[in-house]
Amino acid sequence: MIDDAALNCRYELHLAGALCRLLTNSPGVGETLRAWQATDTYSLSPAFDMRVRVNHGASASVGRPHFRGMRHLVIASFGEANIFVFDLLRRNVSAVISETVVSDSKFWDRILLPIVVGVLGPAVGVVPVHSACLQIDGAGILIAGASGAGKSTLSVALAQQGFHFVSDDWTYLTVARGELVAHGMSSPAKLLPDAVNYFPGLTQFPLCLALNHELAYELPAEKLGAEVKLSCEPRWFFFLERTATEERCQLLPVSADEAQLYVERSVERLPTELELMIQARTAIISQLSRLSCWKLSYGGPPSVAVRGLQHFFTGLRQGVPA
Amino acid sequence: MTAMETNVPDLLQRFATAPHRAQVVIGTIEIAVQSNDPDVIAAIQRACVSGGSERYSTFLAMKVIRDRSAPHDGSNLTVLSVGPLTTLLVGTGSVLTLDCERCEILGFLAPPVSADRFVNELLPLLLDRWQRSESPPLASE
Repeated sequence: MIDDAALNCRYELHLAGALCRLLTNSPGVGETLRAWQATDTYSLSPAFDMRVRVNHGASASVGRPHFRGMRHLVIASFGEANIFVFDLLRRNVSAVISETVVSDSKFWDRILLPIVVGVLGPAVGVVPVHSACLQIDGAGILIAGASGAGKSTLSVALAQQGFHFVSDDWTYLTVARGELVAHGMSSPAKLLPDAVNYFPGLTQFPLCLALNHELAYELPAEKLGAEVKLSCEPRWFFFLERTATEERCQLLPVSADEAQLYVERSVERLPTELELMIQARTAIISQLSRLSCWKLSYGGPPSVAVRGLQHFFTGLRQGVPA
Repeated sequence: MTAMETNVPDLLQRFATAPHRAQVVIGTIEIAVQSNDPDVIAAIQRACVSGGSERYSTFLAMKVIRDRSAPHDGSNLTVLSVGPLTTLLVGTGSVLTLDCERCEILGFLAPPVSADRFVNELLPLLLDRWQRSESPPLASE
């Protein structure tokens, strides 16, 4: 039985706009998560607790992730000795991990913390959206699209042309003081091997096996020449679509209803026990769909879409109606 | 509009159906069990130790899914008990959670965990925890 009295190391973490109160019996966990510790908790979404007991007798390293869920519970195992239980109704996470995992920063930063926000998000006012996020002229743009549509390649291409990089795959939305805020999780940019055709500098980095077992380049966006921001207030929402090889970029307006339907269909289905969370999530998605929404279709290299978007934003700066 | 088409599969198997049902009594606990595996239902009915005439003091709802796509590796038992939740992890693919406040047991059984092992080894651990949560502590404790 994990007793709070035994979890005598306490930290507050800032995870994509949500405040996480971490209770653990190991100061090593706090040390590994130092970069996530909150400095300003004023603007954060409602808090949740994460209790992590380190089993000092166990040495199993992180194993292959396995997830299951039923009603208000989601359970994730990472090998035999590492288990995390997410309770959406009570807004908490409890875990037992082996000593080996304590200092595995790659596990915490790239795997566990994004999963915590993704799974517990509906309970704490955070909506994970499968989209990239960048910022230009102080305002955020979201780029949604199916896996393989080229979100990451376009994000890196835009970042190399002066757009600030927030995320290239998953973006976490919250509402703070009535305004929509988009957060990244400092995850590395993931580029498939053929991206080397557009970014020749990638050849100096090794390919590695990504979480989904794809072979990819996974690099901090800074190494690709990007300036990284942790969050921004989005104003535009683009739906990315690759077309045939003809080099052409087209932007067509998308209605709020279409945008809302797209996002509603793309988020995880939740059980009826979580009806209040479903309603809160729908409200955030509704706010998202009221952004300026566009379908972005392009063919050819990502530079074609970059030029199209630069033209779009230059026009806005000059007061030309989009 | 292909860019706007999407759907999300039920990767967590949250909505797995459990068409087999039974109402059993073990000790003084009445259990309504649902499963997609008739062997689980049969095994728990065999374990039913009450003739039905005893008074049962508590009720539990249980939903257990036979998870044929779960990983097969390992057989170690890991127990995590925090607040009202007690979770058992067997190997890496079988998980069972007792929620004492909501009076329910939810879980998934990987293929290596037989229905008999579930009923004879894992379920008693959870029922013991459940009964201890129901009992007021003794004055000396």
